[in-house]
Amino acid sequence: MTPLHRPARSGIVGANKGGIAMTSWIRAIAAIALSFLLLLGQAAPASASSFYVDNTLGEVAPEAMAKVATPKPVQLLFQFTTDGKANAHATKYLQTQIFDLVRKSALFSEVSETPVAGGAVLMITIDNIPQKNAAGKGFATGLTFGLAGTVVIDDYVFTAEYAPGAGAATIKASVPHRLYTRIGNKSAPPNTTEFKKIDQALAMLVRQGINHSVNRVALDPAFGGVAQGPAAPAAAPAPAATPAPQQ
Amino acid sequence: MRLRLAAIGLALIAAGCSATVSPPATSIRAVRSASAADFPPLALGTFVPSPQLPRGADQAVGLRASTIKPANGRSFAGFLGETIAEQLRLAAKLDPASPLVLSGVMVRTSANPKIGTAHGAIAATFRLTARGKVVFEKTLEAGASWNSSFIGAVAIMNAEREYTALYPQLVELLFEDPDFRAALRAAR
Repeated sequence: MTPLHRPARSGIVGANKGGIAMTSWIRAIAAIALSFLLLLGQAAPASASSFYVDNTLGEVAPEAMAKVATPKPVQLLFQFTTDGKANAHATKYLQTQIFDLVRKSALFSEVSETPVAGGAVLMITIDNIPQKNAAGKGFATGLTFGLAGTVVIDDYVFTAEYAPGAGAATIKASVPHRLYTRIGNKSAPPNTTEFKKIDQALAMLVRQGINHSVNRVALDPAFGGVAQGPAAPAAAPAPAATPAPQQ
Repeated sequence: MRLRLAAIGLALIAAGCSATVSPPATSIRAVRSASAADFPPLALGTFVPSPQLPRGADQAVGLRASTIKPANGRSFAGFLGETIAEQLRLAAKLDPASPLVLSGVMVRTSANPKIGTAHGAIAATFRLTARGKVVFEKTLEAGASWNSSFIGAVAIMNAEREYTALYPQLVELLFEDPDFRAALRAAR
């Protein structure tokens, strides 16, 4: 008998990667429904699930990456929201990754969580807009042993806002992104990258969303970033010596 | 036998699992408010529940068959103080040596994730003293309504998130309150 899926103490959070994706709960609900049926003595196949990151946004192309001549220090404030409301669990879960991504951008000389010299602040918000009635769809999938498959959509808006400090105007850029969760008998959404584990899907989703939004801010003339442009072609190799035609 | 198993299953599903609120996270709005030049560094006093609060209301909030509790066995009033402290720390405006001391009394904490529309609210009476003299006292309340699923697990998760979000919301209300800001300016 399959053990009953039951959120453990604080497991509501652990199973959900900080409540970042509503869709990960669909699995739990499907599992609860399945477990309940198993308790009734029914046999049921496992309800497999996969996660898909939309390919529309993609990675920032190397030639499009902004570069600044003189990076300055910045205070980074990050907040995750769900439907515009603070989500402390998800904020904590992603905090380290967000700081790492901004540091790796090399757009700033220092990235600090507290105020820095010059007063510059970079504010990053990720807003998750879960699909309505996602839970009901997951429940239906569980009750039908996965036959009534489901694809649930989580939309995200990545917003980066840079305040240079000392009364200067802020620079803002927003980037939409999307995560799909497929459960049961349903075909994969088109133009996506598949992951079996939600944390791997979230890592790609967040990396792409943060890199694009921060890069767009940096490319604003007021910020002063310049796209790196196409890589310089490698020096052409000397033509191979052509042997003199045999006479 | 089947009925007994089903009953056990339902009992386990509905059984009282409890969640703990996450440690306070960043509220960009609150940090930006506290970062303003006319917002002086503050020390924090006590954050305690009102004696008028129902017994145990400061220790746990019932969410259907589950409960949500403050972190580390502390109180929700203490959690409010920690939420304020985190925003002040990020704004570099938390100074235990400041003559301006902010304290609070939690006067309301509730969440009702009933099927359909759920409601949650918290309220606190904030007091600011400057060199021992009360310069500001006001009760502020943060509330929210949200759609609540018929599926308990989802309703509890949403209620936990909505309820926890009330704390940074209340801090934002305080930090942006015109009377509070005027008191801060006058007390500097």
